Amino acid sequence: MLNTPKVLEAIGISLHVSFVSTLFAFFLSIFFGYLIATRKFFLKKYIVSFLGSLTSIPPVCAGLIVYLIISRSGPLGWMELLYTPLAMIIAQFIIIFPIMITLIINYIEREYPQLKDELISYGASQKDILFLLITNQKGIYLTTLLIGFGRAISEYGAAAIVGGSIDHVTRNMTAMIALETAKGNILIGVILGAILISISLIISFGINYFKNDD
Amino acid sequence: MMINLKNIQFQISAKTILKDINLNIQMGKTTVIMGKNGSGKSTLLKLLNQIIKPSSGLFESILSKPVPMLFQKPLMFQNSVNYNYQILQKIKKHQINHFWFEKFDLLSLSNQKMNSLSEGEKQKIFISRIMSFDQSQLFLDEPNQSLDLQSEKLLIDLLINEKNKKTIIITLHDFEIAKKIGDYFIYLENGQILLQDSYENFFKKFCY
Repeated sequence: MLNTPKVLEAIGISLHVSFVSTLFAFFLSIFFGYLIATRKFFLKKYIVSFLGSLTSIPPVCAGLIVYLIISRSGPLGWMELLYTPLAMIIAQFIIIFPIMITLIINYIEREYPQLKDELISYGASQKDILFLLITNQKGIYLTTLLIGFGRAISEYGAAAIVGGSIDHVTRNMTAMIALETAKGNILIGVILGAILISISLIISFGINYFKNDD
Repeated sequence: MMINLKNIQFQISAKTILKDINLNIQMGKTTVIMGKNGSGKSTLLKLLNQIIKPSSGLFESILSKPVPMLFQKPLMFQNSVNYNYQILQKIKKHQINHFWFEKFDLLSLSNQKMNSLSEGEKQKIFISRIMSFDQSQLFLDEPNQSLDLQSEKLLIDLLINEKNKKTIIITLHDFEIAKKIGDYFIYLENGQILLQDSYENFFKKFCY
């Protein structure tokens, strides 16, 4: 039987966790992406390559790494983060941050040299240059945001390992789909699956819209 | 003398872009830099405007900092013509005039999106944006690119009008336009000055 409050709760948990992890990853990607892309320093090439290779990290491995760090016997075990929404946020952050920062570094490295040269001739400050880098192609940033959010909300493995699929606390949409389908409650699985697909389609539509707008 | 260059070299990642550049830019004169694609014209213009620093050599300029310059691929924002025209003016916080914007008849395009315009229309906006600052030094990198004949003629007329009041340093491919506006000419090849001289001498030597 369909338990509407539980379904809504799972949707709420998914949206909340993915939204926070995406926003956190987005702002850090802009900050560090700008620093990395606009400066020349030792090891830069290796850091960019490392971040690029992290984009393909299997989510379940990211979950495992976070699990090992925050489990009771791990270095951050004393913080008691395991099986909390915050643990899911951290795991999702580890998955999406490399993707988002790589997209932003690529964009800034392409745009910055020309933008900087011309803006210097206008006497622009670093703050002006950053502001215009962001506002010049808002679509790039919105696309990055949507790609991160899409990846975070549809991810199962990592969130399941560190979240534990605890009812009312960490049971998000993907965890509920897996659980209810395993229990034979196909209807709930299908409804949640349809909602997840709808969210993914809306995100894809958004990405294409902003791409065309640019 | 406005700018003096002695034995200037400019390198990027061990690649020499400009070498043995010796040059005097005279105040109140129009200096035309010519040469094939990739000869170093844009780099020399950026160097003269202090946007890039030479790798070695002596550089002297009466300008303490760069002035707004027309680039070959100017900054274009995904927004309206008005936004593109005004955004850099807001950064510069300088007294502006709309003479060129009106002369190029761009008022009717003010609210249009930049990416809906032709390359020539965009170029007229970029030129007007630079000219709105009313500065006494002009650094222009191929300002006539993408312009139709009528707009090109207007550009030449307006530059001829400006040249008595300003120091102009301009890169061009078109010799006919260069002859109309230039006082001093530089021809670059593979990052080196092959020939530089005043109008009569330059074209006398260049023909041979």
